[in-house]
Amino acid sequence: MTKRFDEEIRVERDTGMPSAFEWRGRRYEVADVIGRWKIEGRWWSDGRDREYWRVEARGGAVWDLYFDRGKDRWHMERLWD
Amino acid sequence: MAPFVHLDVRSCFSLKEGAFTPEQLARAAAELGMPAVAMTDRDGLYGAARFVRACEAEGVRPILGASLTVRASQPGGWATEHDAHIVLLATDEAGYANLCRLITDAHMLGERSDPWVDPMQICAHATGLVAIAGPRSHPGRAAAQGRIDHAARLLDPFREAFGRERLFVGVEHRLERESADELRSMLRLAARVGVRAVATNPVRYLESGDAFVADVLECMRRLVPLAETNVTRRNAEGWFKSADEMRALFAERPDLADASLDVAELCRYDLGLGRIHFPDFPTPHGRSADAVLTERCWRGVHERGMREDERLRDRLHHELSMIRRMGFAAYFLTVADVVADVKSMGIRAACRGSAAGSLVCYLTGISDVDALRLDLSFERFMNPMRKDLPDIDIDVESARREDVYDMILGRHGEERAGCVAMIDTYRARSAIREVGKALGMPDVEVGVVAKSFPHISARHLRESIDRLPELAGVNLRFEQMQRLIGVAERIGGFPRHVALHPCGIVLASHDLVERVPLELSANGHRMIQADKDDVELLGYLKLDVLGVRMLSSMRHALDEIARTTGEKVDLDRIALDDLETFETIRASDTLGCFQIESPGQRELLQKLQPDRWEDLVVDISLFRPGPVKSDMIAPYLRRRSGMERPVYIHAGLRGPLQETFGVIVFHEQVIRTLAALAGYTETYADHIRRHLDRDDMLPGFEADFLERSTARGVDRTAAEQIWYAVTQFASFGFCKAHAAAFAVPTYQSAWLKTHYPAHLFAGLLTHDPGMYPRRLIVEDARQHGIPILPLDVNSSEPDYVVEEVPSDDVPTWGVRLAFQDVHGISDAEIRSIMSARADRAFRDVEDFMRRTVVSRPVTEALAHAGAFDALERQRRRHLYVAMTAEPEREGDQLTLTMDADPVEGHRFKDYSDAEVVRAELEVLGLDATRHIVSFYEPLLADLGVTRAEDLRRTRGGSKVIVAGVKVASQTPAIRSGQRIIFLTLDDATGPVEVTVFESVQPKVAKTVFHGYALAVAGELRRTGVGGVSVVAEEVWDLSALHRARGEGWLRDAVRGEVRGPDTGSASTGPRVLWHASPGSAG
Repeated sequence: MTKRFDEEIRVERDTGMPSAFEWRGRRYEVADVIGRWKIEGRWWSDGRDREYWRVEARGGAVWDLYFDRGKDRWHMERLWD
Repeated sequence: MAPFVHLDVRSCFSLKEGAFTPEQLARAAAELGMPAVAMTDRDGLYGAARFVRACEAEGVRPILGASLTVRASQPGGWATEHDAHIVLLATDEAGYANLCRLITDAHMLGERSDPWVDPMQICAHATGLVAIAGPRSHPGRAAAQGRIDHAARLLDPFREAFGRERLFVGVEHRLERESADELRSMLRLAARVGVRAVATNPVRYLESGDAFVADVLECMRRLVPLAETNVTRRNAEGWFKSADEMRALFAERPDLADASLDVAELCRYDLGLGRIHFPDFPTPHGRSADAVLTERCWRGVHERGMREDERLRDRLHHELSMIRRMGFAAYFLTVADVVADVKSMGIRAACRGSAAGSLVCYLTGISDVDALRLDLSFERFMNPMRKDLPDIDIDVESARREDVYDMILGRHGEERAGCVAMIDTYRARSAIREVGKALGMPDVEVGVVAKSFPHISARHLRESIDRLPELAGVNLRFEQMQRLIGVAERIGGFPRHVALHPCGIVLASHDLVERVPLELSANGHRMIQADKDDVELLGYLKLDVLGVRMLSSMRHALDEIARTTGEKVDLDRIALDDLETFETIRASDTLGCFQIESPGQRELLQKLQPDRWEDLVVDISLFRPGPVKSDMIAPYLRRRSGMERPVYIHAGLRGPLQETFGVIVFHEQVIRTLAALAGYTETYADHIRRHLDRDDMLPGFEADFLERSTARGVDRTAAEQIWYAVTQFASFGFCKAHAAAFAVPTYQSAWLKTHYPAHLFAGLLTHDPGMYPRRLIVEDARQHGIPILPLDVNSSEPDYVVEEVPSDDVPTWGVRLAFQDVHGISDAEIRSIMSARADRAFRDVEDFMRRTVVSRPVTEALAHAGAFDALERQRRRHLYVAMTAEPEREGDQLTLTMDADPVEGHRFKDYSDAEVVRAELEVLGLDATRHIVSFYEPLLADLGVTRAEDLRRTRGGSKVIVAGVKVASQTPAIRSGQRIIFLTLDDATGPVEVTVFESVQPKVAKTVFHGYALAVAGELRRTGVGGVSVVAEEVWDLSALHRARGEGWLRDAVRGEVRGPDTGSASTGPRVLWHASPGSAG
């Protein structure tokens, strides 16, 4: 079951990769990084520039997090549980 | 960490794709410490030569390759697939030859500008090539879609052709969401087919931040607006990543990155820059090209009727041994054959440039200048220290240039000759226009911004907007404008498209097609993918064939002489000391003569008073920025006229400088001055001359020159003076050989003007060669008493022709106006007139309309210009018929009916003189019957206008009023940013130059730009070589003044007051003749 969100979160990083994040007041530790990709373009309109991380948190749920490089903020976009 | 080599890299030579130049690529690779780098542009090797040169400079090994567009043409093949790309890299000479052939085929076999190859073609040319099938290849795409079986079937033939050693599956990690899956699929494909995989990154920009440039280029290429759906990339990862970054992406499989080094190791092909590739010249059995050339030269000695003395023998021996040493015999023989072929086609040809300094060129018929008699320098043309290859320039008749191309390409074969390309690059304005279109901005606004260049930059945009009033009105947001200019600045200098070079042809051996791909130019000539600099780098010799209108004009004159008089004039054999010709020249009656028709030149001729052909050589050389700037003209003229004694700073200069009274006029004299004083060889002296603009080399040259010349007994002060003079002259001057080559057609045209003026005028009007508009040539003819015969449907020809005009005692020659310049007429219409007329002469307008396919507007134009007046002097009636006759079809027969002539018996009013001239201007663009200014004569007298012929005798600084028809206006970009308008007015006595500075432009610009005939008040200034120019203070429209005069308030009008009902609309152009018709004033 996948759910879409777009909520700001707080992320801890270790050697560049997310190691843990905090969402809705709860802390999740990253067990494994499954994938990483970047989306950038549309400089002529909204200037979107995001770095995505697909991570498995301890407990087995898979999360898509992204770092918005323009705004310097982390977001949680998707959750598989 | 271990190194990595990029193998999929597209530069700006992929034409609107890569966002960097080959030089930037080489630099980036060097900075990242990469041992090698590939450049794989799309379907072309346009950038190959400069890429190799840049890599050599940076110490990086270049790998040459290309990305080929692949399309399946075989039924049952890949026909259902979209176009794909495969990367091919050359391992050796055979491989590069195959790559060139494939690219040539891609361009030549299909439609122009849609290059592609069939996969089987690639497999058939696999020898010596490495193939990398990446995610954009057909097999790669199939694999990424999960169709591994299909992908393997597509790749199998490649494995067969290239073998396991030279076929690779290219895997990418572009950091897209699907990248990991794609990578796995590609690896599966490689394993399935049994070949290795290699890590690549599709490099389209050097830094991630430059991705926007690639986006705009992509949209410009595909002619679509910039939008998410039109941009292929999903992120900015297509940049030139370092080895560390690449290896980090492939951390789990270091072998994939290692494979890039193995591929680089395979690709060891060296393009071999700097080695000269001489053309083949088929010689008889067992004979060398050198032997054949020697024989031809001796034959030439006899044909040219030269005396076989020691001087000739020494010179010929010297040239031939240099040619042998440098290996150029085949090139000379090839060019000699080309020139002979051109001449045998009945086309006039002339050699220009330093090649005319070679006796061998004279003896083999390449040039018609006797280098021995004129003591021209061979070293200036060819010597072993010259870095650039000597090439020969041939001028031919402009009207026959394409014929000459076809002949050369045909004769020298598809494999051995090709036209040189010209890479058209983006300049500021063209970049702004195209970027603006891609950004979806309105054309008008973008046009305004484009016009403001080069005065604005993205960084200083804010200031520019404040400074340039025209930008204030632009309806673009600041950010939009900044983006527009920011992108355009990045694209400036990138190739835009590839066109035919206007004159270069490469003459090579059969291996040309193995080192350069060919494609077709827009008009169907075989063109190599290399511009003239590349040709030089690749070591090919070229022949420049320039179309020169003056040669066509003279050809036309000669044809007309033969047609009207039966005389066959051989211009190449006329005496060079014809007294009457020199009278023409000394009187500076040289409008229409090659090289000596400008106002400044005519002024110089008056002062110099040439009386022999050699004086023309000096005259042409003096009229150059170098001699003008370093003020060599005044001392030369003083010494020549005997007002001053020649001065030789050193006795050793008497030899080289005697012919010009101690003044340095020619390049050759620089060479010989240095050689005479310091004891250099002419070869080394020419080396110094070529580098006089190099500040880094100059001190060394100077020290050496001073040391050597003083050691040879030259006084140190004198040596310093001479060195100073030489550096002042620098590279500005002219080479005597070139001036001598020019002086031949100069003299020939002056000879024709003297003896066959009408025939020359016919040629000048037909081919329009000079700096002046045709109407000025007509005026000159009128002043020579040559009747200008009106347009006539039964007498005019397509070109301007000469006709005998009966007059009181002796018949004279007149020039008949031509159909070619009738406004709007087509070649087909002219042909139809000529063929209908061959049956029988036209009887009237109806007859003309019935028997030709000439359109109604053109028929009206002909009637309006009086082309039917010879039939009956009823011009308004002819025009009426042309406008009203109703065509009717009876079967296939087109007939015209007029209702029993409704205008029967009606007497139309004749055209007034003014109407006649106005019609001529409208239809032919020239005032044939009389000069427009003649209508204004009373006005000019009232204004106290100084005429062009009197200006030269007017003192500098005088306040004058000049007037005339605007024949030219120029607004060149000046470094200071000031806008200066240069105008040329014609007042029926000659041209008047006017300069309009920025300070008065607000007041007069509208009149200057929109007026047709102008009066200008200002100060007379002497410029350059005795030229004069009026610095405008006030400008009026002559037609407005004419009206004011008629209404009796001229004085007020001149003071700037305006009156009358329609004050704002001082009418423009020749229209005034219609409204304010001054009738037969004059």
